[in-house]
Parts: sequence; C-alpha cells; structure tokens
Amino acid sequence: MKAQIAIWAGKTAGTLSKVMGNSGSTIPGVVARKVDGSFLHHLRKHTNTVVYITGTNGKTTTTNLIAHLLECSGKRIITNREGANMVTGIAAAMVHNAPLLGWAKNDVAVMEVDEASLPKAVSDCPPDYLVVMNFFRDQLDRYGEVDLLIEKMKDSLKTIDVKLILNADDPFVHRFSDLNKENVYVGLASNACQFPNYSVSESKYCPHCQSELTYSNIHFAQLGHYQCTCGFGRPRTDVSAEKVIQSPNGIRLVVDGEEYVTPLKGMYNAYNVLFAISLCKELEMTSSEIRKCLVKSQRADGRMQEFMINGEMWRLNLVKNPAGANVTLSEFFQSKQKKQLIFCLNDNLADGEDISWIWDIDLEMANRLEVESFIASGKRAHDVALRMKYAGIPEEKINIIPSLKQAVTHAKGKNTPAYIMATYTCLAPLVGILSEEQNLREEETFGADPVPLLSRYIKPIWGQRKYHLLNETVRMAWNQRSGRRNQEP
Amino acid sequence: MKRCEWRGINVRVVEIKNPDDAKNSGCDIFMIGGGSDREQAIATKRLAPLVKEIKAWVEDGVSGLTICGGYQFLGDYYETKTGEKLTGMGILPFYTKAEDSRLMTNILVESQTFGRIVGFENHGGRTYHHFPTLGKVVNGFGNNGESGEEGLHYHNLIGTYLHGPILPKNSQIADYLIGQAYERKTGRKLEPLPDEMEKIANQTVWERFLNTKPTKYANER
Ligand SMILES: [Zn+2]
Repeated sequence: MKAQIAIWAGKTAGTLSKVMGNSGSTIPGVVARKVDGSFLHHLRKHTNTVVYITGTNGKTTTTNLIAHLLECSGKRIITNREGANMVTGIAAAMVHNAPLLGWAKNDVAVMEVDEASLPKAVSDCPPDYLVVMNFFRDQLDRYGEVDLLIEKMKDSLKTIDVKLILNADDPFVHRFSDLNKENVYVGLASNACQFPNYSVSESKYCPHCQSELTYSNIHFAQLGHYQCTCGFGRPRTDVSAEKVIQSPNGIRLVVDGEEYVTPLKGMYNAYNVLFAISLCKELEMTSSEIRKCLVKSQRADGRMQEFMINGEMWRLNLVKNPAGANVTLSEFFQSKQKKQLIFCLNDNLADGEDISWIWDIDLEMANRLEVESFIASGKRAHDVALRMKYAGIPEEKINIIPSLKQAVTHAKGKNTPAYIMATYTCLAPLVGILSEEQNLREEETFGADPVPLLSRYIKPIWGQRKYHLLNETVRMAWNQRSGRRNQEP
Repeated sequence: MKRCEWRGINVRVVEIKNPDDAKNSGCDIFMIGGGSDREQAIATKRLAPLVKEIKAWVEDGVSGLTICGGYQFLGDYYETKTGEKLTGMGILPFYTKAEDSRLMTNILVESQTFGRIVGFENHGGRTYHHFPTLGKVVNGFGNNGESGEEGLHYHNLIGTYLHGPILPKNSQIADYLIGQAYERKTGRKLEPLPDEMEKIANQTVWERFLNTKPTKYANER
C-alpha cells in the first residue's frame, strides 16, 4: 500500500512539475522515495532480470542500446533512458513505468547507474548483471578518489550473487576480478581498430604494486593490452572484437567471427556496441536477432549528433573528461575537410566546478590548418580560449563568445561546418539552438517554394498541427520533383 | 614552458622518476605536484634522498612551485584523519592536518607581490605555518580556512593550494618564476609578453566569483 501511494505521489509530482514547466525527470523518483524509503525493492520484485550499467564514459549510449536491442527482441523492459542515473532516476523510471494501479511486470530492467550511486542501488535492488565499462581519470582521480570509489563499489557487491561483464582492456575495471564472481571479460583485440593517437601520456600504474604498466597495444587512454611485472595483466577475453571498421554510415564490428553493423558513428562507440552485444548474448538473444536489431539503433541526443545547417553537416558531442574529449577530437579530425571547432564549457555542479581538466586535453592536435576558426564558449569561455592559446593555436583564430546562441550564430556566418564539444549543461541548450537552426533553414528553403503565403494565412486558420501536415506533404512533393530533376542529365 | 618558448628561451623538462634524475639535472626551476595521500607518501619516500639537494636549491634561490600535496609535503608531517602522521620532506618547518570536510571552491587571492590571483582549491588538509604567504584570501578558504591567508612564499619558492591550473590565468606568477631563474642564470631581465587574454581571463573569474559563497563539501558522498 505504501508503494502504491508512493507511485501516485510520484506521478502527481511529475505532472505538477511538468505543468510548472520543469522537465523534472527525477522529481517523481524523489517524491516516491520520500513516501516509501525502500521503493527500489519493488523493482527487484516485479522484474525477472535486473541489469546495471556503470562506468565513466559511454554508459548512457550503452544503456540505450541494450534497452533497444531487448525491446526489439520482444522483451518487456524498464529503463532510465534519459540518463537520470542516480537512485532517484531509477525510482523515477519505476514511477513512470507503473500503471495507475499496481505494477507492470517486466522481463528486464536496464538501468544506467552513476558510479557513486551504485552501492545504494545495489543494496536496495541487487542486480543480476553488472556491466562495468571503464574508469577515466578526471578531476577526482587527482585525489585518489577513483581508488576509493572502486573499493566502495566492490564492497557493495561482496555479498550478492551477480554476474559481471567487465572491460578486459581497463586495468581499473580488472580490479573487480578479485570479487570472485562469475566474470565475462569483454575487449578489443590488439590492432582491432585504429584509434588515432594523441600525444598526452597518462600515467598508468599497477593497482597492486604501483609499478608502471607496460602495454603491447594501447587503444586509447589507459585502455589496451597491459601487463605488470608482478603478474597483474589483461585477462583472457570471453567476448572479443577482432576488427572495428569505420564507414560514413556507422561502424562495423567483427565479434568472435561474426559481423555486426550499426548506424552509430565513431570509434569510441566500439566499446558501447561490444558491451551491448555481450550482455544481450548473456540474456540469450541470438546473434542474428542482435544483428537485425542493431541496424535500427539510434544514438542519444548530443552523442555525435549531426545537424544540417546551411547545407553543411555540423556535429555535436558531449565531453566530460580528458579521455572523452581526446577521442572526440580524433573523431572530428577523421575527415580533413575544412571546419570550425567550438568548445562550450560550463562549470555548474553537473559539469564539475573544477575545470582544470581541460588542460589535460590534447588540444595541441586541434592546431591544424583545416580548422579555420576556433570558438571558446560557455560560462568558462575565457579559460577555454587560454587553453587554446597555450596549445599553440594562433590568437587571431580564437574567438571568445560566452553565449552559446551567439557562438552558433557566429559560426553560421562562415561557410564551413562547425564541430562542437560541449559539457553536460551546455548540451540541452545547444541541441535546442541547433535543432531550431536546422528547422529554420528548412522553412527558409520552403519559403522559396511555390506556396510562400501558406504559412502566413493558413496557419492561423488551421492551427499548427494541420498546417504542419500540409507543410510536410508539400515538401515531400517538392523533394520528389527536385529529386527527379537532379536525375536528368 | 610555453612562455619560455615564446621568448625564445630553450627549456629542457626532466621528469624525476628516481633521485639520480634530479642530481644530474642542474635545474633552474622545479615543480612538485600533488596526488592522493597514499601516492604522496610513496612519492615522499622516493624523494627522501633528495631532501638535502632541494633544501640547497631553495636557499640558493632556485625557482620552485609546489601545489596541493607537493606543498603539504614540503613540511614536516601530514596528519591524516585517523591521526596517522605521514612524514613530509621537512624542507621547511610546518605541518598539515587533515579534517573531514573538503575545502573545494573557486578561490580569489589578493597578493602584494602578484596582485589578483585566481584558481580552484580542493583539499582536505589544513596547513599551518609562519612563513610569508602568497596573499590574503578574498573568497574561498586558503591554507586552513581560518587564517585568511593562502600559500607560502619563501625566497623563490611558492607553495599553494591553487590549481586550475595556476600559471596560465596568473601569468605574473609564471613570469616571476621564469624571471628569477633567468636572471639567476644570465643576469638579464625577462622581456614581457603580450598578456591580454590572460588578464581578461583572470579578471572574468575574479568578477564572477567575488560575491559567491563558498561551501564546504563533506568528504563522504
Ligand atoms: Zn604490479
């Protein structure tokens, strides 16, 4: 009964907060947990299999991917798709998923869990599977808090029965091995793919004896094939990607002799896809099912998202730490096309207030001729600009424009596509601004079409919805016509 | 580094992995960074054979920059939360004591020598000493959150909790360290560089955080 009240309270709070104009994705969860402290227990009770995905980079994409694959194979799932990855986010997903009375019965819960929230989530609702992706050096690591974090995560798992899907290539993740659970090691074979190199050398030390690790093959950051003199080394993999091939339409992976194609772009997605495949296989999806569903997967907002602006393909990617930013940059520079680089940096709580990590990004590699202009934006635009200057980028190429909107407008004035890196709280506003620019452009082209007066006269009479339908129909007809025209010699 | 390069001064960077590296380096500027308590204790042990050398550098007026853990372990000891005393390098007589809450915020310092200094601090340790400091804390916590002072400035040695990192936005400190070393080596004064961008970045941070309230963070999350 308490749980039922919690659901109702949560639903009400969610609706209220929406009415008041907040997106408030975790508010229902906060309220539900206030009413029923052990709210997460019910997830365990009403779900056959619970899967948690954790790690520094890629967990949102991987969670979405797993959810998509399972759903596509006909499973009933519950997931915190918006990346609300604290305990309250999980609770919110439960409130959202529950019908007005009682609980929905789900086959699988696929939950992204923030590293620091994992112990709480595990104690309230122990998972059957835990995917541990990676731990990247960020601000925390300087103070040894990653060590502490990993130990706390491991402590929480000690007494429960859980199968671990571990990244074999990350020495930090390998530390979960000594829990002696059932482990599935997942990794990239040596030379499976060419992650472009960047020069920042990171310190990679053995967690057991503190000696420096030696690598026979480095994928990026501390991920690769490592070995220590004390015997600590990369474990033998259970699932291995032998080859990752990049194409303009996405990436292709050869996993244990079988080929998978996905529309997700960028080498850094290799791990995300590989983890999703491994987990779905654990849940007895067949290779052919996975292959079929993978083709239809979509990426989340702001993850190498593309926008067509002024006839140029712009790209937007979230960055949270040096490792992620370096991979983003090397993605950006896969093409030698002329471009602009925008770096939007905020220092709100969700971004991290300490912005010194930007000095560990290999921005030196962005100092190249094909980047015609640099824009430093966000609340800490001046810090970004300084970082660029010390990367050797000529000062006259650096523009400081703190306002995101103005930065986009400035970049639009040039005839080259802009590639944008943005921290967490810059992302949503940027997606908004860029989507608007993209639509605006569509309307402008449409304005030159045969029915320019439609929007002025018919829209007010018909209303937005009907007008939109007409608009779409006319546009489709128009596209078809111009398409045919293009085919003529 | 960059600011030397821009002036056409050749710099060789030597990473000190074992004591011999330092003995042979004949350095003009040295820098010690920070790490976790555990790493710091390991580093200090490895640096132990060098203490005499570093002491001589400091008294000799070699430029030195030590940050966070590097600053704390200049002193005699670092007392952890559990009361354990980790031995420092003992370059200068002072100590640091860890407390539960972490002092973690953007910090502004008004310095007689360097003017306005901006940065970010993040430390659990409170440092107590009687040496000249870097300056007065205008916003933030500083050495121990009580004295209103930040850092240490003795001969040409600077110890500080500021990172962010400290040098780019406070180019006057970078130039001070380079300038002292350059003059010591060549007898010549350092030429100034155009610093428009650095000054604006410093000023922007100063104005932005002048009136915000810093909060202490609990160590446990
Ligand atoms: Zn070892």
